[in-house]
Amino acid sequence: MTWRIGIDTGGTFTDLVGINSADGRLLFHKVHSTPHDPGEALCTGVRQLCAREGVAPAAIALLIHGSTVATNAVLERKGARTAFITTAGFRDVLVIQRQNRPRLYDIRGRRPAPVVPRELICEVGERILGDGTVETPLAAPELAAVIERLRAARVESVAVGFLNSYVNPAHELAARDQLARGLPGVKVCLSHEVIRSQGEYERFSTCALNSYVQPKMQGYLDRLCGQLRAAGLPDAPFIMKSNGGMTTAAVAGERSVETLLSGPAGGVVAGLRLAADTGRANLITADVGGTSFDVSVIHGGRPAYASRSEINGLALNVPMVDIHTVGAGGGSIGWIDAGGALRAGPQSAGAVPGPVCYGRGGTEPTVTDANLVLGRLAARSNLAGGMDLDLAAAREAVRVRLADRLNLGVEEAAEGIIRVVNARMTAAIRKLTVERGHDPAQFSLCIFGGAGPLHGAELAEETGMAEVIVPVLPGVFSAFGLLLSEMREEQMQTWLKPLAGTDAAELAARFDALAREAAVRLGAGADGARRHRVDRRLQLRFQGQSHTLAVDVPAGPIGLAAVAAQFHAAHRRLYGYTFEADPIEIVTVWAVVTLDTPPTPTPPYVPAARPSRIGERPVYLEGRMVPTPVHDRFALVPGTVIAGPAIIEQPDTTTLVLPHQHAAVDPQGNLVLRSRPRT
Amino acid sequence: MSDPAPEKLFSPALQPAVRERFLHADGDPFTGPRAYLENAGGGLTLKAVFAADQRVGALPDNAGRDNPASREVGRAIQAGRADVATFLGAPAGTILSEQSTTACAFRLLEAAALGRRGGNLVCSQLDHASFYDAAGILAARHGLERRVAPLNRATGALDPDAVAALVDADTAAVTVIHASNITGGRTDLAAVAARVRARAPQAMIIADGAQHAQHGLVDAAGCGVDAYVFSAYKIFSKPGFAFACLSERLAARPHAQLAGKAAADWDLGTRDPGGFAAFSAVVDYLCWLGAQTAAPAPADRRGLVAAAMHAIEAHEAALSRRLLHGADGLPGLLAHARVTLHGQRDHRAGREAVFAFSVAGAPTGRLVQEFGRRGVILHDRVSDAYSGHTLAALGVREVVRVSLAHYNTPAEVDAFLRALRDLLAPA
Ligand SMILES: Cc1ncc(COP(=O)(O)O)c(C=O)c1O
Repeated sequence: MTWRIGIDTGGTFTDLVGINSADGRLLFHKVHSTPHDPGEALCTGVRQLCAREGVAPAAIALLIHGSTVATNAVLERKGARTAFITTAGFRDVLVIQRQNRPRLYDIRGRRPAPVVPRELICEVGERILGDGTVETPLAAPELAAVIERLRAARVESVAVGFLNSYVNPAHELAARDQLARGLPGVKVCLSHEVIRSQGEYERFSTCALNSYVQPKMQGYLDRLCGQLRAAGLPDAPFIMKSNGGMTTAAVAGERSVETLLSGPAGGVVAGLRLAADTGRANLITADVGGTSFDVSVIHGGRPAYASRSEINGLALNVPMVDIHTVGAGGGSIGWIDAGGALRAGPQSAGAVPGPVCYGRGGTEPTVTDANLVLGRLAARSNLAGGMDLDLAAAREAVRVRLADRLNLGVEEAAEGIIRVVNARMTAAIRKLTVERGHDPAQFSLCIFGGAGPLHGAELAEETGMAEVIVPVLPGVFSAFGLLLSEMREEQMQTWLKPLAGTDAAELAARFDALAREAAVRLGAGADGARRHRVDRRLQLRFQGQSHTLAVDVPAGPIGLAAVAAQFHAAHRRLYGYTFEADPIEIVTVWAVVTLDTPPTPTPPYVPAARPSRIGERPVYLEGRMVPTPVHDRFALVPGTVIAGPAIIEQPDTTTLVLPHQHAAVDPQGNLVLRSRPRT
Repeated sequence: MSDPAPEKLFSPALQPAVRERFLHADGDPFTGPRAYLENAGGGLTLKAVFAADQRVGALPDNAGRDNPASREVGRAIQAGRADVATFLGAPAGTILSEQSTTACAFRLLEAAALGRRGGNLVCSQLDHASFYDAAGILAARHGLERRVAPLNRATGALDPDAVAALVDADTAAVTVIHASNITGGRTDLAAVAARVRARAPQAMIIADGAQHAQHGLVDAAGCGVDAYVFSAYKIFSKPGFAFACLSERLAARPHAQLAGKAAADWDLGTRDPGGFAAFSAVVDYLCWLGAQTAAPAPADRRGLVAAAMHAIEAHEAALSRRLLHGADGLPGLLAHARVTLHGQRDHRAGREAVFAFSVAGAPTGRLVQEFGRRGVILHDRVSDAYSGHTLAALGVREVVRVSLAHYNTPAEVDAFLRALRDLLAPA
């Protein structure tokens, strides 16, 4: 029982990474994804990996899975047929959403349609007040009529969201009983069980999203467990959540909404490990895939968390690692807009047809094509399993679609694509740094994803970051993060209270109660039988404001003055000022419970004993083709320093070192790129 | 190199005569009697070194003036340089004096790297941080590549072919550690130089003798390196001084100096004449030791130094056997199941008397303290600015180091072995 295997399902490839927890041996494998049933690729991948490496299925202790089933259900609007039952008079909360406008100057701005069609949003008479008292009892006959309608409509799941249920859930609970009797077999999801916080739109939206994705996810996981069992593999996989922790398939099948933004979370977990291993406190993690660019911030050794987010414009309030995503990646298409300007993305050539140079029918020049034209990417390479790239076709596409129309040379146009896509990635980095009070110069850029290391050097330059770190296996870094994640559950609850008037002991008791709930879901037992640790967080605001800031509350007796000081510090960092004298209000009490598990070791880096220099090729840099040495990444001994310009190749990615930079290999095998002082 | 070192302890008469010439040989001013087995960190100081430093250092005036005191200062400096050349087996050409081996590493590598367009510097995982980091920093600063030759984990030494494999026509310099201050692994310098020369005649070969200097004869000219560097405090003299001999072509490379000085003059400003006199006292001592151990005694200083170094090697080899294999019923280092020795287990095969080991389940800092309480001074090497890269290459985070010198006695080795046995005894 020594192997842990992480499986990251992506749009194009399913990445697998296995680690032997006894000796740190690391295995990896890639198979084509099977979007119709992701479990197929998962099982095939695990079986192939085991066969290739002689790992007996019985030796697998743990499967950890990053799933995009729920995400895709929302993005592609292929979720369950779900209904939403709410308080009379509030039918259109899901439709109206928020007052703020997604695009300020767009007079035709449209809000995304909710995942529940309006005809399946039903009202019933009931009213609970903000203090939890019942004003109007639940109208059971009305609910009975709704149930009849929903039966006729053949819904697969039902979400129930009543006003103020986060203070008093009695009506939601009663509704569930009645629904269970009237619609047996239909999954019911109560808003207060998904999140227990104020703000009915966010709570309803999150609850509706859960109802929408839950049947898909549960079906998928049931099928997956069956497939695993049939293949003689462990049939209780763990599922990655958006908060960077993992959970059991059973919990993920219920609280599926918590996996909606889990895709990039693995990369952040791996980034945390890299930060710890290399003694860095501040890291920007950036994952450049085929279609998207995911950025996140680790500051002071801790990831940024968020409790409010959105997916496809719909509010999603579950605790998660704060990740900012833009549509920019290797597959992003270069195009000319109505004003004649060169653009790159967000449209992507995706896996099919893919970039022109893949020769699978793509005709639109992509970022990958541009990298090939510029010599940054080799035409013959080990990329994605030794695929040869069609340079002539890529050049032709760049020429016909862009260069000729813009009156530029082919290389200039290709460079243009790179500069435009880099600018979009840079903007995403600024959003999480400059716009949040972080100076990028205090951070290292940890860049990964198959397409990342070609862009890292320029991104760091443009944002003023001092160094770029390319991990040993950038192509499977996120999957590696799955192996490192811990079992984690969170519970939060709105508790409006002036901080000054709060009784610290009462607050501590609230934390304890929430932590107990989370611990039960975690399987730690209500008595905390399995060792776990509790992190406490508060969301605070100045009284009268609506936006909150989260601060950590250290273990031990709670010092309210220290909490206030932390809030002021965070406010000052973010906005540049604070009001020391103004009253602060507690909004949310938040407990994070993590199960203690033996840590997965970082595998040692063992370079191959062969010369690293494998050739030279012309690369378009600073306006001309420059002969550039090419190195074999896995022949680089720690301590090696390579002067730019240089190309460093490995099967899963290519790293570009700019002319005035150098790349050093650290003891863990990471590549660290820095600029040398210009002379 | 391939001949195993003979093993021969100093005679019972010579041993005390040797110890008598060192300061604090039997105990230190703070804790009293102890066995000093941390010689890789710095050797004991000769009484004669202290005296010479005091005498010459106290002289009024600078060198180059027209008065007797000044002339004596100038003479002492010249004699010191000549003694460095004698000690290294180098032509009298360019002898560089600096504050430390680290300073020499930066200056010599910078001279080799400066003004080049591209190219590479080759160093190794066994290198001390002085050379390893100088190569890395200068490569990054001047746009060169730093290549790192792997150490041989089994021997804790550097294989000449591992270095040679990395050099090419663009290699500006190669740094080679003569002996490791962590594993004790000794490099066959002549073999490295020959192989590097064959592939990259232009490459400057710079040897780090800081660890080796006190343990064996140096033949800088004979082994074909461009520079041989060592620190005086590692060979019984005072801190604040390192010396190097430079080949003509390396000496001629651009370097910091006053405009009017001869091209081959590398010293910067006024040096401490006491440091030169102190090193002459070291060579005087070696000549005395050579005369005690060789029959007939050679007539010249170089011959006497050679005789002394051979006697030192033979004595240390005998101590090493005792340390590894034990004696008189005391189990040796290799006999303990919980002990892992990192490096060569055969003391006659390319190693010096520096031993890095770990004890399963015991943090090195604690072990060093426990040995200290038992009157045995050791040190641990941890993953810090000095040793991190080498320890990582050995696959460890920390090691305890025990390092011997020729003034150590079998009784001191036994004190170490006894302390080890007691520490490992089941409670
Ligand atoms: C092998 C080796 N090289 C270089 C040095 C650095 O010498 P210094 O302190 O004179 O710079 C040491 C010091 O421990 C050493 O052992």
